Amino acid sequence: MKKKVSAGNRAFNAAVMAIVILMIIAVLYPLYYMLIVSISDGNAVLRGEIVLWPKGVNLNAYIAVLTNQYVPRSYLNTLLYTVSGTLIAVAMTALCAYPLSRKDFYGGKILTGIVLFTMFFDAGIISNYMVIRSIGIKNTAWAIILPGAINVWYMIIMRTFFSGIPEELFESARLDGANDLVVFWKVVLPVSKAVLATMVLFYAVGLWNQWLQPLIYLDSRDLYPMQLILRNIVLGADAALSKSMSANSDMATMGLNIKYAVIFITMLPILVVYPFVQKYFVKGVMVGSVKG
Amino acid sequence: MKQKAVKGIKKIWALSLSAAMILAGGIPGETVMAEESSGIDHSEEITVTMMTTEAATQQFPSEGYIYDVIKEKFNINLVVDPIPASDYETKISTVLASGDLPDVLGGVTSEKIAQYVGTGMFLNLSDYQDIATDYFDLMYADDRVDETKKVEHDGSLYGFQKLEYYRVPIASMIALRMDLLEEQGIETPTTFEEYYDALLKIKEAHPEMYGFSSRNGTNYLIGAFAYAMGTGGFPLFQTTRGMYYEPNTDSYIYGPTSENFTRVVEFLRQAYEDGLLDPDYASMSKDDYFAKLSNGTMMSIYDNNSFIGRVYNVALAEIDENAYFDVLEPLENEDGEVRSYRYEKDWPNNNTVISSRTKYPERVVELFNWMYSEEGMMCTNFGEEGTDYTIADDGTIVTSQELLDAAEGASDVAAAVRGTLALGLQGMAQYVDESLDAQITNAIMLEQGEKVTQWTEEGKITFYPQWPPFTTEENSRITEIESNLNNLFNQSIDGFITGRTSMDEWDSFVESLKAQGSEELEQIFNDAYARLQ
Amino acid sequence: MFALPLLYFIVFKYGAIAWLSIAFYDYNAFAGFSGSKFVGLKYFKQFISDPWFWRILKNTIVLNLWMLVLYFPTPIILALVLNELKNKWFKKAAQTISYMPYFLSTVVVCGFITTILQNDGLVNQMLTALGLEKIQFLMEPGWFRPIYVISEIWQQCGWGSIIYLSALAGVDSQLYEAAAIDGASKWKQLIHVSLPGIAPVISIQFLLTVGKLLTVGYEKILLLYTGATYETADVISTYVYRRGLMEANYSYGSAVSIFQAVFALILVVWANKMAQKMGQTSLW
Repeated sequence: MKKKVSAGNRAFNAAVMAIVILMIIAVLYPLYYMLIVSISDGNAVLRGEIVLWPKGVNLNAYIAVLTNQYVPRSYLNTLLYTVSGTLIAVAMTALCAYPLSRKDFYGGKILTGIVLFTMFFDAGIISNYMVIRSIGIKNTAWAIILPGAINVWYMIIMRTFFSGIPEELFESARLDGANDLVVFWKVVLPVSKAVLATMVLFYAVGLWNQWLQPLIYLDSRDLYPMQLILRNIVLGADAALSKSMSANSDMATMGLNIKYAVIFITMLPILVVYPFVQKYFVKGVMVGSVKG
Repeated sequence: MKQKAVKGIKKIWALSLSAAMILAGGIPGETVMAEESSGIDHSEEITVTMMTTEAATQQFPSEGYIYDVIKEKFNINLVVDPIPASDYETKISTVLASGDLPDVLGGVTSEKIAQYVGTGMFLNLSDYQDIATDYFDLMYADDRVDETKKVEHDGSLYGFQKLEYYRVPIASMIALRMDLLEEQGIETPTTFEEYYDALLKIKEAHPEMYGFSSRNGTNYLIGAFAYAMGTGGFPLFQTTRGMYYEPNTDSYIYGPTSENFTRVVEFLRQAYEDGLLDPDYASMSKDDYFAKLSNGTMMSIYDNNSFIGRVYNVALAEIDENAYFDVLEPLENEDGEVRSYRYEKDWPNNNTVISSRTKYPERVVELFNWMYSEEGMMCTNFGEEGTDYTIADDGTIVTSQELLDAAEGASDVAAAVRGTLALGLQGMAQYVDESLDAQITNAIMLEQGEKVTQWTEEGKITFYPQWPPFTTEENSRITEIESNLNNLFNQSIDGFITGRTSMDEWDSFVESLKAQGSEELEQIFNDAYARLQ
Repeated sequence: MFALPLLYFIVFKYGAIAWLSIAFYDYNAFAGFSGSKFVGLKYFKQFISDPWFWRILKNTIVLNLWMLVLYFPTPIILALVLNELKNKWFKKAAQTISYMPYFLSTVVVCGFITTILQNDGLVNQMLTALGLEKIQFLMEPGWFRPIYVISEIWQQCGWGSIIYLSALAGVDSQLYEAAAIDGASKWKQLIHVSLPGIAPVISIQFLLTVGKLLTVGYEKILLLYTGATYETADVISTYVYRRGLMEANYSYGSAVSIFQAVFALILVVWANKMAQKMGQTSLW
């Protein structure tokens, strides 16, 4: 920046800006649209009148969702599953990825094969259900936290990052007489903050969003995560609409505004957490640690 | 009797109820009475698990008055796990496919029963007929026996079907923007031809409007018109079934290959060309469909009439106070015939089944049978007398002010009231009385309901009939043929409607449908039907 | 150290895979394996001899190839571009905005797509304004794949870029400084420093994507296709879904799973060989 910016670099910067701004518009307008619909009057939404500005602003959709008697409990459950599940998953994934990233790990190739093999089999809902049932964790929180503890895809990515750690770091640690666990704790983890942060984000979002496993593995409503309850609010109306032919449920008015309100209710916590993860995505993390 | 006006029913009901109360001798003696009459020992306290569906619009509490009554009367702790309706299909498929059933499973379709009955996982209720007397009396009464036979498997019943005691009559009907009809000075159409001409005339004055569209894709649209026009197939929500029952020949026919089917295709094709059929008919989302009906884009609708009064008219009135939809009397087709479907009687696709592995089959059967009795019905539909409702002098059920206050501000008050107590169709009720809705529902819907009743009596509207029962082999063959037929039909039919495919090719299209097994399908249905006779 | 992960794989993954042997039985869940009939390859034959087998196989692969060619590079490009932004605040905001669509449910996204693509929708209004003919996008078989891929880019690209952003964080900043001193332009730095820095991650992602060539989720397609577009839109999962076989016939569903897995394994082994030949990071 101290030097004069060349014409080529100026064009480059302009292109970068253009791409980013285009992306922002493409993403923001639909989201803005959903936001204004979620706070607009139900009948105006029904008529499809909302385009640029909200009409008859109100928070009824949000109130309707948040006053559902099952939401608070399920929200707590989701927090519990997300926090504990993420901790376990990141730890397990790191424990799996680190040995496999070491070239001197005996039997590493075979074990990699054993792990990778599982990735291509989509065993299906029912097979997984059978496993959960047979080990006796059906209808418990473990059924939500444990099965996703290692995502092979993420594990491979983590392994790739670990393999990129310069060998000198290990050597110097070994000279100090550190064993594998100490090396892992003192050397590997500190320089892998970026990938660990990414994993925390990926696992947390995955756990936060999951609904199929809870649906299948849990029976008791006291254990339900928020997504199951919210899905019913968003989709249940449609499901009922196509099946039931009773006069007794006012399904049609549960329209777009509620659907969109649910989106923002779901998205908000992740948006709040993201900046904390984001700070690890800065150039030079690795270098700093190597020098330090 | 059941289709008389609401108040009349209440009177009869109130009378019989008080009679029942006298017989039962009030609350204290009840437990003893039940034991003596059924001969089933209630001394052991048991826990019965039940999984069922929880509607998006009505909460399903797991404790409250109904459960207390069940505990007191039957010494059963009924533990209910309500599963969100949005994903109940998936849940129930897993439960059935893995054979991991709770004692009681609610919300099971007749199709699922047929599919799994062979595995032996469901309790054969017919073995317990002498316990389930109330239920069997209802199912085999003269007005139900024909439909009941269709849900039997080898002569036995496996599900406690949800039955209607009273329901606001609704049907799939054509509704038209009456204000536009008046504006153009058009007589109310009585035939499909007049209906079409009316739409055309409105289109001339309002070129931006469309005649009609579909909520659920092409087959749903075809299904609506086909039967009324003298053919059939894809009736109501069965958009994957081209078969239908033809009353004129008393047989089952695959609609698309029948002679009159071209009427429907030509009608839709012409409508598409004239800009009457919404060009997005095949791919529209539900929200867009509702939008077009509520913002004045659509002239008419062929669909469930219950949305008209509560949804479209309300939203329309805000932008144009004169605008409103109302239903037309079923239209006359080219054969001079008037016919149309209303939604099936009862809820054949909402059954409660009992696991054949339950430890206490008698007591569970007894419990569910009770829900069809006078007492059980009142309890599961209205709650506790005196606290939750009272019976007025004219016999009307009056919901307590407390419950109504608690539900104030809800978008659907009736559902909110029921939701606090697990009442009604979407609660514990097996024998359903929707008169609470009748009190709360708006006038136009009740008015339309009376018309539906009247047209049913005149034979212009008939209940949508159930399919005959098939064997397991037949079922798997049907699935296979229907899948092949649907692939061919679905990917070609829009070409004919939008005019991309010439009608000259229709005959060869019919031939290729036959080559995919449409005639074998008809054979299977008619054989099964013959067995029923 | 590896014992715990290994136990996990044996119990949860291999345990479930073992259940896929159902594919060789006429499985009666209530009676268990002992009460079910062994039928060998019956369900595999049934799947392969289906009249639409080749079409759904082709559509699945072609759609995935479109995704591989058109979607796959976009998160990489987005990450590289975001990495070049200088204003920290703007960079963070842009990043956050980019992945927000990831949180929308499929139903909502598809509802949005059908709305803007309808006859009087936004896109057709734009076409008319430009003096072009209206297009019935959702009725034309030729438009299905572009619509699908574009919507995937819109929804997934931002989220997909996170992994590359975190890889870029690991690129030694001295390398950029050295390149700048050598007089390399921004573009050259991007090509010669950033891209090689994240090449291992790209190559791994690529190999894993190849393994999914026979897998497409059905939810989105179900909401976007009509009978008129089956020709291009119908894939294995939607077809099986429509036949009601996944749910109703556990054995058939398992046979399809095994078929997909075997195909994927062959592909990945082959792709991995190619990667090794080209000197790229290998999966094993």
